[in-house]
Amino acid sequence: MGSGGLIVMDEDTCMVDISRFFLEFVQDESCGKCTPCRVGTRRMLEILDRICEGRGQEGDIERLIDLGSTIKDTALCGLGQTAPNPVLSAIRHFREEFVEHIRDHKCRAGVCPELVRAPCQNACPAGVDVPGFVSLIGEKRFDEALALHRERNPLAAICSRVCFHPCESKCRRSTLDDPLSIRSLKRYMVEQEKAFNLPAMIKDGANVRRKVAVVGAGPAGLSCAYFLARLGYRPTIFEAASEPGGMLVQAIPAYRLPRDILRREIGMIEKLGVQIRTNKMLGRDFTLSSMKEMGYESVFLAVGAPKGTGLGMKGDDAPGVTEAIDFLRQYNLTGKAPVGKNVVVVGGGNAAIDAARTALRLGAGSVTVAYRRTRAEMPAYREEVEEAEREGVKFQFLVAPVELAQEKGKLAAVQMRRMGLGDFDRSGRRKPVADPQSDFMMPADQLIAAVGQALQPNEIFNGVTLKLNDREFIAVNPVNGQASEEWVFAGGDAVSGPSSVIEAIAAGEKAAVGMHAFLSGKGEIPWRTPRMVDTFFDPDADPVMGARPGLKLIPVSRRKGFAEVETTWSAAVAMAETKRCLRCDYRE
Amino acid sequence: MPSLTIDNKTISVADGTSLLEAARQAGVQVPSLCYLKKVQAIGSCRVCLMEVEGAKTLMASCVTPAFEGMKVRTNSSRVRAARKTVVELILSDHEGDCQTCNRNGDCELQAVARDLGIREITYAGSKSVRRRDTSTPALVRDTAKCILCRRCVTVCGQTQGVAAIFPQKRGFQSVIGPAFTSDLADVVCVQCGQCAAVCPVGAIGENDETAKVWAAIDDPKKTVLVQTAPAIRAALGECFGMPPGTLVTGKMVTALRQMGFDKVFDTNFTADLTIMEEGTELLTRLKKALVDGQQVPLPLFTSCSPGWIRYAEHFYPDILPNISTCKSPQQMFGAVAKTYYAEKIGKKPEEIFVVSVMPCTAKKYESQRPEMNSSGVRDVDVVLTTRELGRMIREAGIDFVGLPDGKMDSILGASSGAADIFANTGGVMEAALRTVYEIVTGRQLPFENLHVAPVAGLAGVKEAAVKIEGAVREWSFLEGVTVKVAVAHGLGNARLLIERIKGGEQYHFVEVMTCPGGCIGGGGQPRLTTDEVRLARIAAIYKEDEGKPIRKSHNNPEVTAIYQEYLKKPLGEKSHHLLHTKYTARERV
Repeated sequence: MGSGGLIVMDEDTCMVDISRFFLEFVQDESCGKCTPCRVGTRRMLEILDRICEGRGQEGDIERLIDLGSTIKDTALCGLGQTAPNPVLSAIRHFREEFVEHIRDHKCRAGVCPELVRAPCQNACPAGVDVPGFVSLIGEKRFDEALALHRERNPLAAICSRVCFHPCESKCRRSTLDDPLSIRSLKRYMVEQEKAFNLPAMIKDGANVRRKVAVVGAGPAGLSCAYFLARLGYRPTIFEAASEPGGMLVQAIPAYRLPRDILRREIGMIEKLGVQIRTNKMLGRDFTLSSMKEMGYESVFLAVGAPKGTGLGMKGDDAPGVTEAIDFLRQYNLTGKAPVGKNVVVVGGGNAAIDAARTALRLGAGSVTVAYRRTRAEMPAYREEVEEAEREGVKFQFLVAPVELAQEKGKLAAVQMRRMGLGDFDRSGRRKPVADPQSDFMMPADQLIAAVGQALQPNEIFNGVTLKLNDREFIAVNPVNGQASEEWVFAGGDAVSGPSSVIEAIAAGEKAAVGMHAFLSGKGEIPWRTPRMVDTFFDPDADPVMGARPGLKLIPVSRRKGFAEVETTWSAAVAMAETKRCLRCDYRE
Repeated sequence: MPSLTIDNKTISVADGTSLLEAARQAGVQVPSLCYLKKVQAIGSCRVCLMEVEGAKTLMASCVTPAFEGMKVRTNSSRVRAARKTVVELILSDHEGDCQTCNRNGDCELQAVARDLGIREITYAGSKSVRRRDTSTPALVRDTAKCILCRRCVTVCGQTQGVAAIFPQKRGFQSVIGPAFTSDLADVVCVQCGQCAAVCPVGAIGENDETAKVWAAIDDPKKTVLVQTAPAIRAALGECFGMPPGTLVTGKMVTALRQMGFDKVFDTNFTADLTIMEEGTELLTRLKKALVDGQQVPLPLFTSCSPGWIRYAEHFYPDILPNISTCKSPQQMFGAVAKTYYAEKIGKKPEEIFVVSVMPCTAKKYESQRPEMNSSGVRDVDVVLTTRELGRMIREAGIDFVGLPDGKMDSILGASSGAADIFANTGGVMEAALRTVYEIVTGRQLPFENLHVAPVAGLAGVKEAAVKIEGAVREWSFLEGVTVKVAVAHGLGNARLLIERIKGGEQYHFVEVMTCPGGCIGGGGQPRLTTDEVRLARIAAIYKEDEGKPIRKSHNNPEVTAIYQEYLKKPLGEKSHHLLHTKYTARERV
């Protein structure tokens, strides 16, 4: 990039800001003789300035490309002819970041000050006002804190247990010592809730009468229904399973998310006038066309990615070979699932860890997680991996199955091949490279595959063709979740592939706003206007010192069944933790 | 003689020809802003871009030499789009108050934008810091209109060798101006206005004083006289679309009268007077040197060009004694008008308002020099440039092209052809020789048609020698002497000539004109003055001279009359008081 130097950048580098930096540098270097360099690079800088400040305009990216290309073609010397290169290559490779700055006023790296209220809030896909609710907790105003949280994310109790807290990884306190333990504070907050404080609702007779539907009662669907209800609609959720919750109830084990907590928070959404109809499966019990016939004006598809993608190798049809998602769903919905003596779980994501810990709890003799890369590359949450290890799950890294051996019509062993790490792939991780000479047999009477999940488009969209994206999930407009049929919106894992609860919640909110605009033509959304909380903060005071407290977990010896592993902090710990917040949201 | 293909047309051009000139020879119109033939080719504006087959980027045609076998496209969509973007960028940093700009209608940027079909500025943004410099009486600079083409820098530094202005700072901050953002008045600027003459936009221009003239005309208590320099009559027509070199003396007189001036007089009259004084001064110095054996400063330098005077004061204060003490014709006119003429019509000097029309911006400065008040008040009240007069004529609603010819008023209106040629480089020298030779020998100057051809034309430094044979008794000491003269125009050439003299080269008489081509190429003339335009104006002036019944200054009857009635004799006491001046050594900052 630029003049031949090598710059190492990560997800904390804003590509728009770095482009701006390069052009700022050019301003001092340009001799000012020729027009393209003197005026042109300045104009490019001004466009980048306004994009970084949230004043970007439609067409700015094209203007940058056109102007940059012309400067390259017309400038007098090599300085001007190369000055636009960093900007042009940044656009070529990271165009989406430029688009987000202009369209969503979002800087995903949390760098551009005008677009980032606080790094934690910026990192939260749902945009929860973290400093706001944390400071309200600090003043023991728990109801207000929770209400503020539910302005952007209704599933506070659920997220206080299962959220992967991207907010904490961007917490500015980590530059001082350690990030705030935001999720634990949230847990403390939800524990203080006595009765539901229902959020502000728009009363609109016209909206009440309009028929809107949500397909799938997972976090995306629940979130969408919640926000639709707040906008005055009375949506109906159709859920294929016998119980609402989607992955929350089917995949996430109860020791992480107790079912009464889940049911209680779903109950709150029902209280807003949302009707949930279970055992109604799209493609089996109804279709998009039949919904239209029933008079539904708009529908949100949050059908998830419910099908395991399988290993696709010889012997994977043997009894004893199962998909993690099927295994977890079977246990979580029926209360029982068969486990073997030697269980091998293939994969490195959260489903793999959940399946391994569930198998262990169901009495498996030994559980081994086999992952083709190393621990550092595992997509599963670090805390979950650590707890699994503490509970007795074994890990084998840099191995991948090549064939499944059967004995007497049953799975007997997995032929594993050792892997090395090669070049980096598109995910930024090093690609596993197989060493064919290194095969060994791993005895196993049960293999749980957790290597990916997919949508089942053919089974659910019969009749209506919705455009899919290049990963075979539903293609939508990223701003409002609108699919290729204008009345159909979609979000959650069905759009993004398997991802997090909080991303699903964010997608549900976006779609609710999109559907509201589609149905009513209105765009003002009360919860989207940021407001400053009135909690006390002294900007001149020194930061309160103190270490980040650890999670409060029950000892492994007591983790027999599916009782919740994590518990709540004491009031004293929680109150002290709130004071560590640096209040990045504070403005004079 | 490389032969190349431009837009499918194959042409051969001289070695070293630029693509831009080659394309123009091929009949292609090439927009450009910084390029100025024979003055500057630096490829800074990037408007003259062309597509050269095999080149990675577009090429600025003004700095790309034509080569054998080149394939060039001047009208591809890539070229058109790039030119458009570049001009849009220039416009985005340009104070575009076209309707009220004095270049409205003859602005090169306006024309290029129009020709390229620009309808909006896609990349609007912040503008450079605006600074208006009105520190000098002659020139106004406005950085907000400057497009940084650097023509002024090249003309000031290379052609004139003054280097009062140059680019400073970098990138978007870069600005053209005197060092340390000083005012023009505080640096060596000689106020010749050659920068204004080449400026493609309204960033440098004359200090507009038309309002003062209208006010004087409207004032019943003032008798408003106007004098016009000889160079005006060969250029004023250009302000009204007439071709360069059209003589408009008669139309000009009619226009001035219609505008409301009380009397229309001629600077030519005092040009003739200058020859009488300066010729006598030359002969006196020669006599002192040759007969009395005194140390007198020789060669004698002419003093008509105020830019040259200021240049000498800044850069060569040691030669100030060599410069003729004669005031310029403009200042002689002012002094005579407010004394001799005022007495004749029974007015006090303060009741007379003298307006000059000059091809020159430095004349504005000259009229403000503190010593230029021999009449007791300012000798010349307002100096207008040719361009200002053109604007006033338009303002007055006069259809200039259709005007009948008028005649100058008497008694400050008669002139010889020798006075006309003051406008051309070499003209003062020729006029002086016509008179001096005849005084000394009693015979006419022995050149064809009285033209001293060796000192005419656009060569930078010219010289001639005239052998005196058959001198009359009074000047017999000059018998057999070969009078050596030299002529330089453009201050860069003046410097060359002075350095040559300092190196031992001997001349008796030297003419220096500040502007290339002489006054016809002055900083106040209609824009743009190219060599073609200079030659046309020069030819017109010689034609005017040849058409006059009187060709020699000493034959001007009104000149004879003023000496009889008032001045008595050249270099006399009254002359000394009214027609001569002194110079001031200045710092070279």
